[in-house]
Amino acid sequence: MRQPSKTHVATFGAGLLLVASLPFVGRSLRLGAAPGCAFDGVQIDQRHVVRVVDGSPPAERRFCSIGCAESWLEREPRATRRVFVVDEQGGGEIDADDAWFVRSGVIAVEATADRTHAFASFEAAQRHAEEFRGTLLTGDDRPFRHVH
Amino acid sequence: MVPAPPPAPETILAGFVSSVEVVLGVATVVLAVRALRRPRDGPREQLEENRLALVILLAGTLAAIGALAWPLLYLTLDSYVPRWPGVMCIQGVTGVGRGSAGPAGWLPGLLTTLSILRPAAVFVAGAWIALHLANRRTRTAPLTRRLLAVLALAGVVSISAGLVELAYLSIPKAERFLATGCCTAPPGILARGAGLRPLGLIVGGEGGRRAAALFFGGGAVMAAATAWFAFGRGAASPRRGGLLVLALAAAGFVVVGAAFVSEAASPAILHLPHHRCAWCLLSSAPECIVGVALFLGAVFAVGWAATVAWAAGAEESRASAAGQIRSLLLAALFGMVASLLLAAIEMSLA
Repeated sequence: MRQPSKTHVATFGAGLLLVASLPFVGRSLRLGAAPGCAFDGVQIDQRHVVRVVDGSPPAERRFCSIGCAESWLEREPRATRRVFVVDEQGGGEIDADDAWFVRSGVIAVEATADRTHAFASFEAAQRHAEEFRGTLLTGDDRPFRHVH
Repeated sequence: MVPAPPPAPETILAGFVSSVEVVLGVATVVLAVRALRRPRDGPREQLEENRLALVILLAGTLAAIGALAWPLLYLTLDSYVPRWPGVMCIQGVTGVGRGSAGPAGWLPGLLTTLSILRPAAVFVAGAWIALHLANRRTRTAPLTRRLLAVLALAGVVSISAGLVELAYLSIPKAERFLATGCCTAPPGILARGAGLRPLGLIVGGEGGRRAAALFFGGGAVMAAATAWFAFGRGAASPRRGGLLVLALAAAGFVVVGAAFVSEAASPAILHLPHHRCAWCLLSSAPECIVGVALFLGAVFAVGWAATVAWAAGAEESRASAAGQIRSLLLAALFGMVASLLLAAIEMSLA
């Protein structure tokens, strides 16, 4: 049995200490970073943010796109939930139940190539669909239909 | 038809490095083969006269370029991410061109080939350096001919890697709307690549825990085996068969490591339970790159130790090789333990 020299042990230990400090350094550097999409971590553009509120006390999750929020909801089935989307025309937040959705040729969120758009009024949704060869999403195609 | 964007600085640098790699690789192969053709029993001085020093210098430069080209390839792929909608990380870039007609359709295959050739180039170059160091410790340089053979192989692998990368870089990627994909792109948004988890098949459906157990359990066994070879009874003259088994086990353990990073570490550290993407982890938590480098370094070091053990046939070289093998095994032990430690701390902080 060959014993390691003291120099080897000291170098080995110092190296391990250095490596062990890295997670703490990395974590401290990321402290101020804005939280990304709760599904895939993509940076959130407030013009397309989707909020899902559930639980008691209510917990909120933010998503970069309608597609991401839908994918997350499919994987996390729960009883009661409220989903809020941003009206693309007015910029205000609306309940997903009251929104009109259009899938068109215009990409809403580049990183996920999401082409689903939310509108507060039927007229605005229809105008977008006509202008950009889109489809008004109704029935089974409508996003968040299984939320409640 | 979408106009091609101007090449990114990373692309230009990668193209330059690959070109230099091909040129140096050709020179290394030619000089190594010429030196190998000399009489087997010729004195060492004769080989030195025949520019052995130049070959070694060339091969050293080639090894450095190979080590630089590997991370540069992924920096280049990362620079492509903003080019296509639906591509959010390198995983998405690897799917660009899939199913496409024409040269763009070759892109995924070229990248897959590169993902094997790039580490292979580093491994063979490292094996050459380890052999060279062991050879230098001897009086009569008995490993010179084997060294030259490995050198020629290093040249061939580097030429192949350089040519494949040049082909990948030069194929236009914006001439058509390409099929793309990303690690967790929502269904219905992207067609191919989305939700593709080949490593998930190894550890099962929700295999994060299993991947973590395999990684930490297997890693502890690997570290103990490496320590045994470095400090155990056989350390003075390590058994070649045992080292070969250890090297093969280490190579197989890379798959477990990859499954751990994508299936367990990525969702836990990023706090994204449904996002299993190693590339997103490395870009969001860059300290994990150190862990991956330590892990791969450990695997390579075990492989280099086995290569030196198998190449050192003569009695004189075997004695000098034992010291070289021990140093490599110590480096491997450090890499393995350090990567396990870093992973354990990251997971416990998550």
